[in-house]
Amino acid sequence: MGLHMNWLAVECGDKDAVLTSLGLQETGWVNDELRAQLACATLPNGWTVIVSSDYRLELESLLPAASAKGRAIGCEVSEIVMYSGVRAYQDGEFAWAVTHDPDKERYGVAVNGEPPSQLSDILAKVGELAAAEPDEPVDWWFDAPVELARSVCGYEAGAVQNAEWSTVAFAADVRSAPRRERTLRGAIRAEIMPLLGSLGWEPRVGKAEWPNAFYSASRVHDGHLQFVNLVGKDDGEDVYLFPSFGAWPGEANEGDPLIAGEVRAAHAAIWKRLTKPWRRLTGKRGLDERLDQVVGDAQRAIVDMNDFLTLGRTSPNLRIDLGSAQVWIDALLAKDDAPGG
Amino acid sequence: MLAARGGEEGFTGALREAGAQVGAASRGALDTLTFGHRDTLAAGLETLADPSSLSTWRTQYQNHRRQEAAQDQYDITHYEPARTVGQVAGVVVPMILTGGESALASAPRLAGAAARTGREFGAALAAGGGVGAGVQHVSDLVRGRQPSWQSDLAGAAGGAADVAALAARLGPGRAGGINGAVAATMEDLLNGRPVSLERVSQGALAGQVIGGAAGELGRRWSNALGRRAKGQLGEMLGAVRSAVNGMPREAVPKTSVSIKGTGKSWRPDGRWGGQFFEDKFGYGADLSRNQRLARRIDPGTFNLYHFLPDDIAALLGVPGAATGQQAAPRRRGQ
Repeated sequence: MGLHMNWLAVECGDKDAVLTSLGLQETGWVNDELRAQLACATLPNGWTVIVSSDYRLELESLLPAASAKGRAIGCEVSEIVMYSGVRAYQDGEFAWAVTHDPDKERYGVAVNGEPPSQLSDILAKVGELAAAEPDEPVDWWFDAPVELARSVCGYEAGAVQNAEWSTVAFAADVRSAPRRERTLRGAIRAEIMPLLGSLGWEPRVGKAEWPNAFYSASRVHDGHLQFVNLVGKDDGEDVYLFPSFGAWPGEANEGDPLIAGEVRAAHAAIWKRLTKPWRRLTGKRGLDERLDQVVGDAQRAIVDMNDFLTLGRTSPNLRIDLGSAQVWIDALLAKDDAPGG
Repeated sequence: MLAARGGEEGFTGALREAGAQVGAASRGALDTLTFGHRDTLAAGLETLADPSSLSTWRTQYQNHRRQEAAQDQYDITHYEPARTVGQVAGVVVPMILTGGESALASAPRLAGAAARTGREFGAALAAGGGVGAGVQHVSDLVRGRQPSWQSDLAGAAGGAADVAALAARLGPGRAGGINGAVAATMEDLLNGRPVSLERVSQGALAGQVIGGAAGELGRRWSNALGRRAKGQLGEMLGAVRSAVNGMPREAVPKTSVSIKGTGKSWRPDGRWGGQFFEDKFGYGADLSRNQRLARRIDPGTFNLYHFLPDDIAALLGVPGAATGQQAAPRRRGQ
């Protein structure tokens, strides 16, 4: 989906304290905050961010409470109606707000209170861009509140590196469930990372150079920097794990990847799909069963993906998002044909 | 002298005749505008205007109403063409003047937004016909009448005509008027009756008023929605539109898409194969910078669906007009 979300950030590195103060609790893990209804992470700069990818945070009530833990800002972004807004609270009191609502003011932002001084630079830059291309159907001012929010707390939707996102839910909405002995996070460390290592990859946890890649692996092979990113979610109800992959033209992370894609698990048997709702209701046993299936599928996908990246061998579940299989096969053949290849 | 007197009487007679024609036309127009209740309204006003009649208002009212009904019958017998002209004017003039259009400021869709396809028009025609037939069928059941294929088909024709009129940018009010007129005409034709201009006029007016009102309500409601709801509405309409065009959106998690050669990315609202969809809703919605970039780099895969509150007006105008047409009275044996 295009961005249609809201989020809040608190200048407090104690994630548990922030969640408790807002009546939230962790339910699991997700690699990308925009793939969960509610996700939370503490950024390396010490701000704790709570993101709702479907606009469900009630910022009016949450921000005053959150600001008891430190400076708090809330941001709303909708690329469908092109509304964006950021507001700040301090010690439970409203401090400032900057909003862009094209239905009210198409070319500009509304300012309340005294926003940070960097706003004037941001607006000047936006004004220059708009003046340079006056006939383009682009909402230049849409970015101003978002950019201001990023300059304050460091968060930009879908662009954070090396943050471990937890799925969270309001405590009142969390169903009591038996304590789980096995989670996707644990399975990744115990079963997926060792497999990647055995195939010649260098597994990494929280050290990738691209966003939303907390569990990843990379290597240089045949002169290409290649990466694997584990795209997954385990919030106690929904469990999936897709290894995505890519390769750059050279040995460094520079420019666009030459190829990128993922390997999806084959569709489950029809009887499994038909009985999925029932099996989801069966609690821990159903979840463990699905986790086994997900981890097994991911292991097979990693082998398929490795075969493609080293031998150019395609599989039916291979899905290329950037470039094409032929582009990669040609690149491999070019290496083979090169002197000494 | 006699000749002069005869000429004077001839002139006076012609003047009187013209006045009678105008009167019949006016009463015809009023009858349409009041959905066939001009006699009731006129009798009520005449009774109220006579302060001496308070003690016997019921008798006075009934007398006035009988007189007005007799006047209508006289017009039908002696001045039918003039009355018909008035009835038609009672529908057409308000349609021209207002058309049930919105007072809200309107804006064009974004440049490059996907135009309506033949599949979309076909699906809309079918949906309009279905709504028209459904409303007719339910209305017959509610009124205790036996539903018939003739009536259902007449309702379907009205609904389809409404959609066609909307596609011609006539607005929900005018399109609703066409809905009512077509449905009433078709019902008479399919039932082997002569087409009643009175009923057609009243159906058209009812369709225009109720269809226009429903459309306006939809326009204002959708324009006043909160940002979250507007976004959800835009996404829902976009998903329906791409499905109608044979490109059902894949049920995959949100993912960003790299924009080749720029180092930037964007998050489409949906994808189908190699096609990407971006939905917009509202009069003020433009593209973001990265969306503009994505469209510029690969325009063949970038599908922009821009919806306006006017689309919601059109969506609600069709069932509104169909319902309004049912509300038009069936009088004088029809």
